[in-house]
Amino acid sequence: MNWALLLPGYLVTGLAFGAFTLDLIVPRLSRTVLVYGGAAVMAAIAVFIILSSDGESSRFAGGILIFDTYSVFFFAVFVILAAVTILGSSQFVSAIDSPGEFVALLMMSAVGAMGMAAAGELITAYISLELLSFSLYILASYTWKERRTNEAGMKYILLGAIASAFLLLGITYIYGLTGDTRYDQVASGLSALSPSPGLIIALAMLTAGLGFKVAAVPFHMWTPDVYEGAPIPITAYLAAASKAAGFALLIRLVAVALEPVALFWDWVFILLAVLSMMLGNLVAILQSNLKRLMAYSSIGQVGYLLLGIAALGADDPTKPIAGMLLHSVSYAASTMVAFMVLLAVWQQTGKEGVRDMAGLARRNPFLALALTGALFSLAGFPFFVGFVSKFYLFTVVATAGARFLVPVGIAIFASLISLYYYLNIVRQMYIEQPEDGAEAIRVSRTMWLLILGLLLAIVAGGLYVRPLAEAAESAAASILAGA
Amino acid sequence: MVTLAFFFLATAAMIGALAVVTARNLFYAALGLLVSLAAVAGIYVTLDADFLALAQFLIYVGGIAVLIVFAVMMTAQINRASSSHRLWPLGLLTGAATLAGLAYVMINTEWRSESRGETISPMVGDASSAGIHLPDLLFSTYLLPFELAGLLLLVATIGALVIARER
Amino acid sequence: MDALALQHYLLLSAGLFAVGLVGVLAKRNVVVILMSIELMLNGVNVALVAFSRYSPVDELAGHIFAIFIITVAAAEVAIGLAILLTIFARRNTVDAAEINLLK
Repeated sequence: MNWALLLPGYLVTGLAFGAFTLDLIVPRLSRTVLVYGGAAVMAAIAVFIILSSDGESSRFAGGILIFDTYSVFFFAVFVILAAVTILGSSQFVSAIDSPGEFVALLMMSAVGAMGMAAAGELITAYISLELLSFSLYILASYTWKERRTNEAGMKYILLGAIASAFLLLGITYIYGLTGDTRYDQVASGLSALSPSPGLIIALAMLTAGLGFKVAAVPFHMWTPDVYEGAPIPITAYLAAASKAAGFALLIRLVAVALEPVALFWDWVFILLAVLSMMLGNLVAILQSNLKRLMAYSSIGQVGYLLLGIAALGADDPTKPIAGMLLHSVSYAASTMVAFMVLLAVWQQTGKEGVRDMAGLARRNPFLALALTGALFSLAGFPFFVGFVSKFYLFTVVATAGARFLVPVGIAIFASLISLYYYLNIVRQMYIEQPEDGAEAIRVSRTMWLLILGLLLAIVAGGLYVRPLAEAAESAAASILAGA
Repeated sequence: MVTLAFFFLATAAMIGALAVVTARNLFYAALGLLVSLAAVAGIYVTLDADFLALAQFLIYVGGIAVLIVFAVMMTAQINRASSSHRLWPLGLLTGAATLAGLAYVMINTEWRSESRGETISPMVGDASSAGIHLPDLLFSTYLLPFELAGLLLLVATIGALVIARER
Repeated sequence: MDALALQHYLLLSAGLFAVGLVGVLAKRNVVVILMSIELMLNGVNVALVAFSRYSPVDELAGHIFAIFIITVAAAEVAIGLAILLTIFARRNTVDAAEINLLK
């Protein structure tokens, strides 16, 4: 067994342990050290991961973990997202009682996410999923003194546990049908079977369990409340990383393990996709709380990604996979910018409503500009990476088969709807007058730099997407090469 | 003989489960859970899963059930029974439908194999016992999930402490 | 078919899972909901071990998986109760309806 492959995991876990113990032994540990040090080392780890990848695929322990370009792609994404969240929570961390644990739990959740992307086998995938989920249950309840957080945290863990139970039943039946839990063995086992009631139930349970994880309709009920109740940095992390991790697992699962039945089951994903796109974007219009609005908007975005999953049954799954990878990254980055702006506003004003954004352009032009950029990117406006990723994804899905033409049409329509409520926010910022007594919003230098960095990234992605697209495409090819 | 044990244990497990869901008194519900979990441990013995039976007993019965009893003691309002949701018939219907559906699926699916075969011994017996053994698997092939599970327990311990600490 | 077939175990598994599901959907006390989730997970475990036992080759993946599920279940209960106790400490109730948990 080549233990050196696990180096990224060791590094992040070691860093997390460091954060735990440092908080314990250094009496008045500076929050600065914790946050900036933690984020800096995470960023360094991400750079290391990217530079040390050599494009080769290795299997660990007979397929328990698979280290190919796909895994490396997601390792980098998760570590960067965790680093961004840690940096963004610098002010939050100074106000809470257990800062070391907060930062460490974020890092551990990244380890779970990395496991989900690299898992080549159902047991490992499940344990990694639970590692991520448990960290998030705790992080989402961190400000448990507030009633909203309290209730949301309870709801999150209860519904999460139930969804886990469904997922497990599905995995169990797959195991019963095929006799193994490794993705490639499952695929060969499934290709020898004809559809049976057991298979249908297994797939239904898997879809239900994983659908909860990524918040697809009709398994999305937890999302608005949990997003509203969790502290804003964690909401951002939930919206970006948790969804990306769910899809990292789902893509590898469907593309490799469930490949023989992907065509048989794709209509279910299409249905879920259409429901998510429509419900997410329509209900978002009605929201007055920005966190809830973003929650519903993210449900809509998941719909687009689910179309990609549905397209995996087609002849050439490489393109849909690449499209999904590209869109996950673009969506995660754009969402992060939006939430960081919201965080900055909230830290000064304590408000998070759409109306409270009124006149932001006057109170802090930079924040208004950044939020506009993020929202345009999410809507799919040209010049931003969101446009490129949506265009890519929609095109490859539409060319995957005639049955996708209507869903992609719906997707485009849903994007237009999302433009409506995004523009509403922009209008609040630029056209509406700020309330009496509303003062200029001051942003700490850290937040300023962070938001600027992310904003530049999403614009750069929109103008020159080639490196990212090539990375996504080689990642996609690498999963399928082994199968 | 094993068949008899199975039927007895299965009945006990189901009665315990039903007690959890139908008992008016919370403490009886917790006891029902305990009985059910213990019966399941016995079921594992009928499946030649000795280690698992022991683990089930230690962790579920000895740990989780005790934790639940503590929770019941701490949160039970003596004069309030464990009440049901307004919409409980819907829940019952869903459960019954699930049971029927799953039962249908069980019977009518071609599982990979349905023969019981020889008795297996997942734990190492004597040096010459054949077949694969749990320790070999757990510490070689499945070592990584094992370590991840350890991390998961660490996260849960620290997390529970962080949330439930006295200020 | 043996006297004690795979189907018997699977039926028990389905029974435990279904009863757990009823508890989750129909009860209001959060502790009871947690107990019901444990029942569901036990149902899954029984199925896993049965599949492992009734397999043509000597294999223990089901056992291993069941061990991990027991581990995860224990951790889940711990965190769930921790969160519950924070609610109880403030509000003196564990009723899902009162905590506005109605899904």
